[in-house]
Amino acid sequence: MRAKTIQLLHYITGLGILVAGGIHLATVFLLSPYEASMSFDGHPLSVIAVYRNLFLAATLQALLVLVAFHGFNGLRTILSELHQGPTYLKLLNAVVIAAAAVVVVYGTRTIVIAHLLGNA
Amino acid sequence: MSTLLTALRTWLVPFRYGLERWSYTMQRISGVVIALYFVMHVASTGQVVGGPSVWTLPPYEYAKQVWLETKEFLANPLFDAGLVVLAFMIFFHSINGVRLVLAHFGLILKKPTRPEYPYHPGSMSRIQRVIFWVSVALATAALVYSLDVFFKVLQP
Amino acid sequence: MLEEVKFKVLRYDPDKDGKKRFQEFRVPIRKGMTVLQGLLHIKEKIDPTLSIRFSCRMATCGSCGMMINGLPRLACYTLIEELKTRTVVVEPLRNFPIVKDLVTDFEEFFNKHRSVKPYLIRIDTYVQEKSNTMYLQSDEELVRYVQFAYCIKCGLCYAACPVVATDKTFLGPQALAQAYRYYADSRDEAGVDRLKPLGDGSSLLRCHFAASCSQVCPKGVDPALAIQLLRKEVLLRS
Repeated sequence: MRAKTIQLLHYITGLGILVAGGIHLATVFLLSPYEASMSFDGHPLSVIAVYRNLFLAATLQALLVLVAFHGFNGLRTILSELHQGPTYLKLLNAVVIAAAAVVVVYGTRTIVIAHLLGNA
Repeated sequence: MSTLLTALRTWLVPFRYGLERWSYTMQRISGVVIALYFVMHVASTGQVVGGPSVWTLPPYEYAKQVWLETKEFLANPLFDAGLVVLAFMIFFHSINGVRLVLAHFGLILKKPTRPEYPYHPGSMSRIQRVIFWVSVALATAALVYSLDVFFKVLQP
Repeated sequence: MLEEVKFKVLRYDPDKDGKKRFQEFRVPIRKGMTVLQGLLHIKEKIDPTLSIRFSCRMATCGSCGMMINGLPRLACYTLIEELKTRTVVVEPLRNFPIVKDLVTDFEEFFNKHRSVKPYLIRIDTYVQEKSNTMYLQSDEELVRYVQFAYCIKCGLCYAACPVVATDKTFLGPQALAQAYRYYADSRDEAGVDRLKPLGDGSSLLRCHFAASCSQVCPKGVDPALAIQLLRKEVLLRS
C-alpha cells in the first residue's frame, strides 16, 4: 500500500475509534456501575450480557480491528523513524503485521466464543 | 546506540519549542502506552471465555470461574493507578488527535500571509491552542472521574 | 561601560583529535552586540583557530545558523543582551554533520532542497527560455506562496525538527516548504507531478506537526503551515 493510503486509513481508523471506543467506555462506565460491568453475569450490562448483545459485540469487534490497525501502524511509524534502510523496513512491516494479526485473531476468538456463550 | 539517544532526546524532551512540541511528545508517549495497554487488554479479556487454550465453546461455569480468578488478580491498586493514568492519556490522545487530523488537512490553520516582524506563525492558530487545552481539560476530567471510580476520592 | 560575558564554544577538529569539547572565552560586550560579533571578537583577539561561517551579518544570507543557548538561531540576528544570561553556549547546528567547530555540512540539506525541483516548471519551455516572456500574477495569487519564498535556507528549521533528527529519508521542513511554494505558485504548471513522489515513503508524511520549525524560523516563513497545506493536497489529489 502507498504510504499516503496508510496515512488516510490512520485518520479514518482514529475517527472510527472515537465512535466505537466511546460506546465501549459508555457501556462500561456510564450506563452501568463499574462493579456491575465487571461482573460475569447477573446485570444488564455485565461482561457476558455485553458480548451476548449483537450490536455491542459488533462494536467490540470493530474496535478491535480499528485499534489494532491504528495502534500498530503508530508503533510502526515510530520504529521506522528510529532506523532506515529497505531490509529493516521490510522486516519491521512483517513483524508489525504478524503481531497485529495475532492480536486480532485472539481478540476475535474471545468475542465470537463469548457471544455464543452468552446465547447458549 | 547514538541514534537511540538522539531519538529519546528529541522525541521526549519538548522544552523551549512551544506548545506544538509538547503536543507532539504527549501524543507520542500516550499513543505508545495505549497501544501496549490494548495488547494487554485483549490478553486479559481473553480470560472471559476461559483463557488462551480455549478455542471452542467452553462450559459456562468454567469460563465464569476463570474470569472471577482473573478479576481477583487484576484487583490491584497498582493496576488501578495505571488505568487512571491511561484515562488521561486516552482522552488527550483522542481530542488532540482530532485536532491533528483537522490541521493535517489545513482546516484550522491561518492562511499564508506576508510575514511581518514579530512573526506569529499561522500554523499555531488560536483555535489550535483552544483545542489543545480542551483536550488537556477533558483528559484531566477523565482522570478525576476514574480516580473516583477506582479509589472513591469524591465519595465521603 | 564594558561588561563581560562567558562564551562556551564547542570545538571540534577532525584533523587534530576529532574530540568534541567546550572551550570558554571571556568577551567584553557593548550595547547592541550580536553573538556573531562576540565570536568574531574571539577569532580576532583570542583564538584565531576558531572556525565560523558568516557573510552578510543581517539575516539575509543564512550562513551563520548555530545552536545558541540550546536553540537554533542566526548568530548575526541574536543580541547577546537579548539572551539575558551571563554565559552564552554556542554549538554547531543539530541534525547536520560538523565540518569543523561551528561550521556544518549542508550537502544533504541542499540535496533535499534540490530534490523537490525548486523552480518553475512550464509546459511551454520554449517560450519560458525567451528573455522577454512575462508571466503575470495577481496579488492574491502572490500571497498564496510569497511567505514561503522568504526562505533563506539557513537550516534552522532542519536543526529544530524532531523527525529529521532520526529519519534521514524525511525531506525536512525547508525542502517541503519550498515544494509547496512552487506547487502553490500560479505560474507553475507541474501540478500533480509535484505531489506524486511525496505520497510514497516517509519524504512528507512523517511530519507530525511538532511545528518547531515555525518556532525557530528567523524570517517568519512558517514551514509547518506549508507542510500541512501540502499534505492536504498530497492526501487528496496525488
